[in-house]
Amino acid sequence: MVGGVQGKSIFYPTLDAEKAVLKAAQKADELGLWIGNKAKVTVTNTNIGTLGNGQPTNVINVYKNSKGTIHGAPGN
Amino acid sequence: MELPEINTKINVTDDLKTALKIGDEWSYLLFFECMEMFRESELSASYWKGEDDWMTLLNGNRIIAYIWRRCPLMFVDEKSIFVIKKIIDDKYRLVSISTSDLERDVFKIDEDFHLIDFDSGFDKMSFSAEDFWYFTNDSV
Repeated sequence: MVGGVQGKSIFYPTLDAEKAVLKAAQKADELGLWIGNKAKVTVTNTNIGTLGNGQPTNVINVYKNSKGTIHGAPGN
Repeated sequence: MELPEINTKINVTDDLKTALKIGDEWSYLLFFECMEMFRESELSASYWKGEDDWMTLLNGNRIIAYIWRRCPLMFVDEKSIFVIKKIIDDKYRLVSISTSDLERDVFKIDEDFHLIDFDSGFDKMSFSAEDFWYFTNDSV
């Protein structure tokens, strides 16, 4: 499941957001970025969406649960 | 003979209603006071301002509680209640819902309870503390 922070941030429509969130979760696993069941993952060389204030961002917030579901949103 | 299934889910509707009524200074003041107290303790508290709706409380790498910013509600691992209460005592009037396992589906709420918007996929009749966090954390 993919989304932005409701009413605040949004992935670029041209981005395959589901794929980006999955890759971000993998990266979080590899780099040990999880704080509990959430992680901030920085994407190098490209922005992935905008924050609520219109600022572009290259950070994906990823959230997971023990049932194997993940979702993500552009973060800062 | 097949035994009837016993529904052992704990209904937390009243706890939620109680916490939602308390509101007051919680979401903009007391929640952050509370977080500072945890950060000064042996526990760690994670809250991404403007992005999270919940504080995650950890003991080492283990999640021991979720505390909601929207209202003074806490889902807590029952083994950690004492350590948490020792840090914040009772002055915050936190409504605590404890469980032996934050990942276990032991809770339910009334089907006609609509005071909270859950992300799609949330099962009101069977959920864990973690589910509650997961399906409401983006609704800041």
